Amino acid sequence: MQARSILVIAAVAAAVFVLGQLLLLPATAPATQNLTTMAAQQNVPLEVNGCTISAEVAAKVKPGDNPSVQFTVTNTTDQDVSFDLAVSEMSANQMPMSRAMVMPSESWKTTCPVAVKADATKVVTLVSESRARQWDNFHYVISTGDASIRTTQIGTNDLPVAEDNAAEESDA
Amino acid sequence: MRDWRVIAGAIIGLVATGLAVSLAPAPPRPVDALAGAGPTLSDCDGALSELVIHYTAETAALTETPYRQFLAALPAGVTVRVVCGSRDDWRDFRRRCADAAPSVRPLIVEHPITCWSRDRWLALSNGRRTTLLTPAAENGQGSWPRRAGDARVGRDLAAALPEVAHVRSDLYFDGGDCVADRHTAFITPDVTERNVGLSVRDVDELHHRLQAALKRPVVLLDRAPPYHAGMYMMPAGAGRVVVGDPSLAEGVLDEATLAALLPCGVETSVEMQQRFDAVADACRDAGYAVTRMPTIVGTDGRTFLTWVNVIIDQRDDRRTVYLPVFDGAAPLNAAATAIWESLDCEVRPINCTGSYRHFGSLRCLVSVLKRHD
Repeated sequence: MQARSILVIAAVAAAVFVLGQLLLLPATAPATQNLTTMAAQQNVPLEVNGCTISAEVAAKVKPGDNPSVQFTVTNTTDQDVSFDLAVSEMSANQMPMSRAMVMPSESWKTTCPVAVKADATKVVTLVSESRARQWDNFHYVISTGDASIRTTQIGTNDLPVAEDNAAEESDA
Repeated sequence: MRDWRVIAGAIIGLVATGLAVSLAPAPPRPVDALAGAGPTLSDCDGALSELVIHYTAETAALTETPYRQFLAALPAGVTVRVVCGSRDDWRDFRRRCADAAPSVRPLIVEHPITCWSRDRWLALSNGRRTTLLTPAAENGQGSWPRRAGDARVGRDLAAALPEVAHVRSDLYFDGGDCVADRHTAFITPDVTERNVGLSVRDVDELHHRLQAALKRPVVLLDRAPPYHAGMYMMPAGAGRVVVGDPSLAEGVLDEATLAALLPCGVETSVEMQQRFDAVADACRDAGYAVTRMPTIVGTDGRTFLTWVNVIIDQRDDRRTVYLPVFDGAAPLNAAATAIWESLDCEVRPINCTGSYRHFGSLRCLVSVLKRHD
């Protein structure tokens, strides 16, 4: 009788244990194995004066647009901080049919003063003076002088006019 | 009495379940996706077994001649997978090239692609299975739908071929940024430029990550000519690397010929020569003997008349070099042939006049999926 009770309780404990694992699992590990990705993409942040800086290009740019870069500065200290960031835009043009873009070159640069209150986050958007052409690609290098980060690329789609016209026609 | 039974039962249940859970194989995490993959394929060791080329009717003027000549020159038994964006592209390929090679197999992917197969992935082989390591993103994919389609080809191949797997890296690179032999993978400075401050914090982390992925010692070139490695260097087997040398091409072709071959102008700076020499020095530092090869670089840093952009097949202890040659450059074609022959290689010339002005030659068009010893 005693042995049966112990077995019943053990079974209940095991079921509770497994149920707990199943409930916790999605929060701690991928629900399914992703065989096609080594790791989630996570851009390297820049750190300066207790601030963490991450940067990204605009979501879309069309020929004739000025591309833009946005960076987020998170001040994790209890002090207000201010510093300058050097921002340079690198651009390259993709020639149709060619294997690669021509070599990227600096197409615009500026110095951006940043001031962030203690324990605050500031989002800065800079609009480039460059005018995007067909087949252009842009990325940005954000530098503190000692270290730098770079953004991913943004490019102009090669069929923007046709796509936009189609969208406008369907809207109409 | 009841209390100790409850406690004992709970402990036994938890211990037994914990043991079962810990002994069961854990689901592999994404970072382990390359755990079973082999090292990156050598460029100069082993017999060609299976190749991949891209074909689009739009770029037939670039590829028809090199594909016809290369496919006709391949030994029997080499399978060539022809990735086509559409059935129309495949029909066009068959009309132009298929009679040159009986062992071509189409893969219709139903999305846009370019004709450049080399940069899409790195092949990692454990002898039984090939894993295609594709970059986090393609250069220029935001401005060029065909290039965005290129980024899908690694997965397309894995979906179509049961012995091929696909893993997307979180590093940024082109397949052309790497050349390798059985012992070493050489990586261009462009990979450092593209990744440090974006996907990795520093060069050491990049080096570690690449060695882990490619499963070979990695030499990160810190100074080199611009562009892909296969434009200026190629392992030749037996501990030797062939490295380009602009000085060896100086004065060989007259000015009018050079102007016609490279309308962008020829880069003749000391700085460019030093970049080639730095690659030769890096190879020597890694323990390799170096043979220099005449090379002409355009001022755009992309147009190369290069005779190291080769595909090498090794079988029966003999290497065959499929060598790009160019109309109007006969003396340099001959010099390059002599250099490869001096390395005990048989040379089969492939005319790449139509493609080099679009920044690529033979190796840029052809990827190796499998080799066998």
